[in-house]
Order: sequence, then C-alpha cells, then structure tokens
Amino acid sequence: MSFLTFALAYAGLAALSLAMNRHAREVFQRELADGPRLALRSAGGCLLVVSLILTAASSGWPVGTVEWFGMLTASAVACVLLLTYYPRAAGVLAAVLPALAVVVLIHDRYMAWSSP
Amino acid sequence: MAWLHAWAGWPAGWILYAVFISGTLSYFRPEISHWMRPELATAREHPDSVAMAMRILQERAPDSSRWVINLPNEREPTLRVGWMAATEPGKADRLIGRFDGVVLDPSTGKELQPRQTRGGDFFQRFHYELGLGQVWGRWLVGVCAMAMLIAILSGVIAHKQLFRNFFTFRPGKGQRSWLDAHHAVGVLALPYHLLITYTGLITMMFMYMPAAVETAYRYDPGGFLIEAFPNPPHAQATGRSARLTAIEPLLQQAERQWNGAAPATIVIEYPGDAGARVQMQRSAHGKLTHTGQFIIFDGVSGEMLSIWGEESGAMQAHGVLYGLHMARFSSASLRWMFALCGVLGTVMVATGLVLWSVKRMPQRAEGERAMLSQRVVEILNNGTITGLPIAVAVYFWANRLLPVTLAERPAWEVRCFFAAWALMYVAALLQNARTAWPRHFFAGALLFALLPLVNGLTTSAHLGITLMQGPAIYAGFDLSMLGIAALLAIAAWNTSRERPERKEAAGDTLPSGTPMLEERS
Amino acid sequence: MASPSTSYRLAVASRALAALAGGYLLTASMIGALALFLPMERAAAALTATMLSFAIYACSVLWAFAARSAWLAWAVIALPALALEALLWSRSLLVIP
Repeated sequence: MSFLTFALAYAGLAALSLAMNRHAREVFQRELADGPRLALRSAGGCLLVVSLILTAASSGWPVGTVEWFGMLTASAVACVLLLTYYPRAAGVLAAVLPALAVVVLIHDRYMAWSSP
Repeated sequence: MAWLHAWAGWPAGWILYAVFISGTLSYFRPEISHWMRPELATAREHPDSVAMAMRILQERAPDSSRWVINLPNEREPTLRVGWMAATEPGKADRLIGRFDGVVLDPSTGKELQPRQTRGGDFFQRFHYELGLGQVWGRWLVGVCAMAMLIAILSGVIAHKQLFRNFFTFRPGKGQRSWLDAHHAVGVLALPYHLLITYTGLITMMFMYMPAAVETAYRYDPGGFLIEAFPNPPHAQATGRSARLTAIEPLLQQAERQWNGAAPATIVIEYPGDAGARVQMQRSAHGKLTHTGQFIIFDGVSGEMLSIWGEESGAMQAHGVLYGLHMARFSSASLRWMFALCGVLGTVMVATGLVLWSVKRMPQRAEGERAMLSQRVVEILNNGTITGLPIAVAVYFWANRLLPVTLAERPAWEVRCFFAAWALMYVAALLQNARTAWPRHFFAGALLFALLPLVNGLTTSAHLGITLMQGPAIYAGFDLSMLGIAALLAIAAWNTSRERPERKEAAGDTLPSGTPMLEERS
Repeated sequence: MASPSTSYRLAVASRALAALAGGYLLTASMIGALALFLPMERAAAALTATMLSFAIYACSVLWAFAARSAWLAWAVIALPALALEALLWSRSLLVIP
C-alpha cells in the first residue's frame, strides 16, 4: 500500500463516477457525450487494475488483494463525500492526486539513487 | 426482498451494533490493553530480550517443566516471561500446576507492575459473547450474524439501482438522506461487510453447524480435531539432565525459515532435561492464515526437528478465512482501513435502525403521542446507538479513575461499562426523542474529548509528552479519542438540525410503513 | 392501510418456519452428505462442508421468501432434506462401527 496506489484507486473511482450523468453534471456543468463517457469508464477501470497490480507487486497477491479492497473502500468514501459537498474538488483531485503521487515517487527514487 | 431485508436487519440490529462497535475496537486490542496499563508506558523494545528472559527464567524457575517467553513487538513493547510453577517442591508437571509470570521492560530489564484490568480483551470477548457467557452469548451473536448475512444478500437483491446510485448521497432531505446514508455505507464497503459477516460465522462454525463433522466422525468422535488441527507433540521428560542449548542461534534459524519474519513466542519444555524441546511460534504479521506456524527444535542439540503450519487445502482455506476476520496479519495502515470499514459497518447498522423510526414519524400528526411500539423502538435505538459509545468512554474513564489497589478491579471496570449503558436507556426513556439524540451524542463527544485530559491528570504519559517522545501507542490512542469525539460531535450537530418536512415528489419518498411481503415492486 | 389478514400472517409464518427451521435441517443434512461424499480426506471434507454451510443456509432462507408461494418454499426445502436424511440414516444401518 502506498500513496501512489491510493491515488490511482481514487482517480479510477472518480473517473467511473464522472462517467455517470448525475455526477458529470455536478462537476462539468453539462452532460458528456457517449465517447468521453466510454473513455472515462475505460480509464477508470484501467486505473483500478493498475492500482491492484502495483499493490500486489509490493505486498504479494494474498495480502495485496486485501489491501487493495481496503484502499477502494477508503477512496470510495472520500469520493462520495467530495462529490456531495465539493464536487469540483472531487474532479480536480482525480487529476492532481496521481500527479502528486508520481512526483513523490520520483523524489523518493532520486533520494535513494543519490545516497551512498 | 426489501421486506426480508427490513425484518432480518431490524431485530438483530441492536445486537449487531454492539458487535460492530466492539469488533472495530478489537482491531486495536493490544493498543487498548497497553494504554489501559499506564505502568507499562515506559517500556521500549530492545534486541536483547531473549537473553534477559533466559536470565530471569534460570533465576526464578530452574526446575520448571515449561517456560514461555512472549517477545516484545511494536504493538506490545513489553517482554512477558512465564513459567509453570511447581506445586510440590521439585515436581512441576505440565498438566497440573500454577502458571506464574512477570512483565518486563525490555530496555531496562526492570520488572513492571501493571494495574489489574481486562484491557482490550474485554471488547474482544464482548464482541462474540456480549457478556452473556459461552453458550447464550455465542449463540445470540451467531443468530444475529446469520441475520446480518441475510440482510446483506437481500439488501443487494432488493437494491435494483445498486451501481447507478453508488456515488449518490443527498444530505438534508430527511428520510431520503437516511436512506442514502444507509445505502452509501452499505454499498461502499460491501465486500468488507460480506467478508466480515461470513468469516465471523466461520470462527464459530463448529458450534453453529456441527452436522458435517458429526456425520463424518460419528464412529470416531475425537478423530476430527486430531486430523484437522494437529498440534505439535509435547516433549517427554527423560529424567536425565542436560544443558539447554543457546536460544539466539535458533531464533536466527527460525527467521531464515520464515523469510525474515520474527518469532513472537518461545516455549521451552523441560529445560535442563535431555528431552527438552524449544518451540517457536511465528508472529501473525504478514501471513494471512490464522493457523499457528511453529518450528520445533531439540532443546539440547539445537537441531530443527519439525515445521508445523497448515497442511491440506481445506485447512489453508479455513486458516485464511479465520485470519481475514482477525486481521492480525495486517500492517498498521491496513489495520486502519479495516477499522474504517468497521466504522462504516457500525454506521450502516445505526442508519438502518434509525430508518425504522424515521419511516413512521410522518404518520403521526403534530402533537399526537407516539404509539407504544414506536416509543419502545425509539428508546432502544437511542440507548443502543448513543449509549454504547458512552459506555466505552466510561470504561476508559473508569480505568484511569478507579484506585489501583481496588479488589476485583477488572470486574469493576466492566460493571461501569454496563451500568453506563443501562443508564442511557433510562435517559432515553425520560426524554423527548428529538432532544435526546443530540444531547446524548454531545455527552459522548464530551466524554471522549476529555479522556486525554483525564489521562494527563492521572498518569505521566499524557499527550504533552507522548506527542514528542512517545510511546506512539499512547499518543495514537489519545488522538483517536479526540477523533471519536469529533465524529460524535458531528452526529450531535446533525441530529439537532431541523429536518425540512416538505412534500416530496411521488416516487422520491419511501412508502410509509414496511412493504408487504407479497408486493413485487 | 388495512391490517394484514390472517392468511397473510399465516403465509409469512409458514415461510419463516421453512426458512429458519427447514433451512437449518436442509443445511445440516446437506453438509453431512458433503462430508461423506466430497472427494477429499475425511477431515478436509468435513472442514469444507462446514465452511460452505452458511452459504447453503443463506440460500435456503432467501428461497423461502422469494418462492412464489409458501407451499413451493416448503417443497424445495423439505424434500431434499428428507431425501438426504434418509440417505444418511441408511448409512448408519450399513456401516459396521
């Protein structure tokens, strides 16, 4: 479990939620056409799968699967709360969190690489 | 199906609320037990624990038949050393005898005298017995767990728009909001709810469903336990004395065998005898199965004799299911995920119970007295939903305020818990429902918020110190108390607001009353 | 809203009995049979059957309330239960302890 995998899980769920008309209306102020909706659904699914694979890679499949379900629940709760009270933030975070996580990851790798 | 969901969920709901709250607390059983014994606050882990333990054992119980060492870890930083005390001078049989022990600070070697308390173990036992004993308590919890399983399955079947409404939550709309909240917490953590309910039933499955074992082993009653859950054999005393081998190399061997995982417990049988055996048990961390993993060494030569874990696929499956319920394998962050899901489950049960009352309120005209059955349900709801958190807080308060030398101290702490819980039903009886809810939640918030203060006034391990120097368990506990206080305060604020009683569009509100069974909606 | 009729109450009670008592007996007989006939070692079969028991019981309860009528609910639950019980009982006549 790491910040990156959590961010990917959140982004995946947010993408899936935005593919629904009700929530797209809240965030984008309009309904999306079928094309973008399909793209969002596929992207959401892919992000979730990537999150699962990364988690399993670091913790092993048995424990990793359990961790992934835990992260899904936590990010689903975050998603629902944000969509209810701060819908714009929910959408923005879907893009910001993974970017931030990648930055953190690169920073950690760089520190590990550059230290003796 | 909606009918079945309501009737499966409702009568069992009050019990399930208690089960969910105590279960969520039990995820942190070691931390709670540690916090409730502030005399242990100074203990810190130390790498030389085994040597320290062996020294104590050689001094105190050289002729004992059985030594037990519980090594310190992150969640329980004390070293616990125990031995079978001789009942007659020179004769300590492993079958009869008194078990004696000490608790040590591994960093100083000093013996600690923790106050008498049941600690977090009380919540764990309450979780599957409700204080009603091994037979009645476990059966009642089992029946309610089965009802929960039915409620989950019928709820999923009845909820036709499960995925369409997955992310929907509309606050401030009265009855509809409660339903949304119930759906949200139910669906968001659906895998968890299914898992925890089924695996919970698994933990007591031989009690609830004995037919398979009874049928297969009708002519061989004791055979099942021997075949399904074999235990490492006990050592045999030879009567010849021999020097006990060094333990540290065995620790390293065990760690290598377990790919780096450390032993949690060391049991030495017949130390000083030629037939001595050293048994190491792996810590639960990182391995899903609940089945104990043992390695047996010869006590004189140090040779690795046997390795014990699960054997057949069915045993593995059982161990994993059991382990998933206990969640001992989890890292700290995963444990918090489990606790979050436990809280969601608790809220799910609570909102379900409240839906019963809320659905019937519009049927009453303003000022009209409620029917007796409605009033009873209200009181039971209030007393359970607000009363249990308050009882938990009172239990912690009692731990700090009751005198350390009080006789039967653990029993008194538990009595405080049940007394507070019972009083909350009385309080609900005496008050108007609309004002009772926010008042009770606020009282709970206050009790939890003041706990760190009480801790600071009665011990030297308060937040001022622990935030800087640790131990982290104390800081974490106090902060969690503040977190719970915040949640209860939100609940208090939420229940104190006026609900808009406006005409809702047709199809938006639930039909008043419980749906009839034969209606196919 | 008229109060439910007696026949409605009887139907509900009948389904509840089928679910709770009938379902339990069906589950018990099924896991007894599974423990004997699953192609595994005896202990593993008994373990597996017991682990499956709650799923079987849950299905029985759901069926009892989803069936089109109370009679149908009883039929699907009671008949297999009786058949399996007969099968298991016959074993006790044949097995030499």
